[in-house]
Amino acid sequence: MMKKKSKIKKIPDKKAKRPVVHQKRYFFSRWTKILFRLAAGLVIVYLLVGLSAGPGILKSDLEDKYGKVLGVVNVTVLVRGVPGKPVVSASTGCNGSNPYLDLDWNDDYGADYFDVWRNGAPLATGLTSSYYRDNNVSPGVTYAYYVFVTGPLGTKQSDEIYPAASSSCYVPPPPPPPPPPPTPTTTISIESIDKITNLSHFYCTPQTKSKKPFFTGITDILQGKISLEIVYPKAKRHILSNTTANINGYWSWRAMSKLKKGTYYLYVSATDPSDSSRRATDSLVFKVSSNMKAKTIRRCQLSQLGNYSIKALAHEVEPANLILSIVDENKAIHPGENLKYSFVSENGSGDYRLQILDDKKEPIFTTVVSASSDGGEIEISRMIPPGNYGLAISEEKEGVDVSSISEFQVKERPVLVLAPGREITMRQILDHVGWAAFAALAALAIFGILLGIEFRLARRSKLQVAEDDLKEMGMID
Amino acid sequence: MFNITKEKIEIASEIVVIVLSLVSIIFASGIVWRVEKKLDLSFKFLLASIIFFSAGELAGFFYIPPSSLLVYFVPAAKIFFAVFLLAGMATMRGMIRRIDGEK
Repeated sequence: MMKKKSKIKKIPDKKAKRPVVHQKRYFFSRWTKILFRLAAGLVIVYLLVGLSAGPGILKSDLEDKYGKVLGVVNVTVLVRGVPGKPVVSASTGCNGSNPYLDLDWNDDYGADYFDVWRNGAPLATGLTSSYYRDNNVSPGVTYAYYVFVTGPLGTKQSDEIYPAASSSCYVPPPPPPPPPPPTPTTTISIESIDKITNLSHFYCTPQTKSKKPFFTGITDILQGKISLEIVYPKAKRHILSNTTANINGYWSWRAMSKLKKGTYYLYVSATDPSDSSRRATDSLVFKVSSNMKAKTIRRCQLSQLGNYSIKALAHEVEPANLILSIVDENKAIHPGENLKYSFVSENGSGDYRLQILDDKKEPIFTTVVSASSDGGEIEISRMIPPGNYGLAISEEKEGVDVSSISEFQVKERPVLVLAPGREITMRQILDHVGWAAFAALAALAIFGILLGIEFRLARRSKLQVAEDDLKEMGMID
Repeated sequence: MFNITKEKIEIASEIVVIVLSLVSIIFASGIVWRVEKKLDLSFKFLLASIIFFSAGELAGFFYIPPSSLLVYFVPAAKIFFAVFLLAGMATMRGMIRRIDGEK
């Protein structure tokens, strides 16, 4: 059985005595506890915040707060007295070619300023530093110096010293200018005349049957201006011409007018168009009569006939006063297009002969232009095959044949232009037709086979897609 | 070993697009041959749009001189591609709506 709790409440006895408590002590202990807890809480919060920010920060903060109280203060007291007698020392030196004298003396706490005297007269007064440089001195001259020290409690004078300014301030002469770079030697050589080649090692007078001999040569002035002069002393006849070397320095030229039988002197010079100081010359003595036999040519090349010079005497090449230039910068043109040209002539009268020359400098087209015009256009025939050509302008006057030749290139018309400058010509297609045709045919065959397979598969299909079929396949509801 | 340049990547991506679009022509042709009526019509439109897309890509692969009339072909092909794609989609949508019984 469970015991029932008693419902009788205990009634407190109001008359019972309360415990004896010291009221004042109780009051202080309560506030002390509150303050102590508050301070402890603050310290804990401070430490937590400090530690979370970093022990280093906490340390510096503590040092900042309490270090000032715990630190030591050093106090230095200086007592100014009567200035002492300064001891002056001197040294000499050079500032470039000019000598100077440095004066130095001891510092003095009792001094307000210093005065420097030279040869009995003040040199500098009111100095606050214990140093002075005298730049106004002559080499090798001795001067008398003394220093006054002035302070609040009096003035003192140093002993007189007699330093001498340096007399050996040496100024090295300016370095000599670097020697000018050596001028590169330029060369030009005549390499062949018609069938005779390697003229640099040819020890006979070369001989040709051609009335218009064809010359080739080489120079190290790339794309240089080539001036040519053929002199025939007997007839007092001159041929003057100019052309240009190609990008590799090779040049070729053919006489524009027929030469009679005889011995001729050919003078050639190459000039750099951008630097006229770069110039080279060469010469050749040759004959126009009958062709040399192959055996004779071999003997001449093997020096079996002695070291015979085929060079003409030194002669300044007379410049041709007729200069032809092609306007197009690329000097490349397609067949059927017009080639723009211009020419400059000092004579400026009569008519000029304008010719298109092939790579052997043989004329393939000739026309006449008026000297009054300074240029024009000439149509390049569609029949002209691609290659290197020359445009020549010439005139014959009073025994002087003047001509000027400018090179240009005839390019094949492109079949396909992939990008500006990236052209595909028929010749290139024919050169690469093997793999190109194979690639095109392979691509076409693959496409056709795949299309055929697809068509065959389609033929096997039902050809009709009904709604019931779609429902059976579950594609529609 | 391989010098990969931006130009080469562009050319390679153009070739890939052209080849894949040609394969798409084959697949679309197969669908056209297999189905009839509305579905056939919609895939014919889609096939036409793929053909125009392929032709435009093929023409854009090569350099066309600015003076040539062919410069107008590439934008025209793009327009036709979009028009036929829309027509194909619209036909397909109409057909599906009819199957669904929408009014």
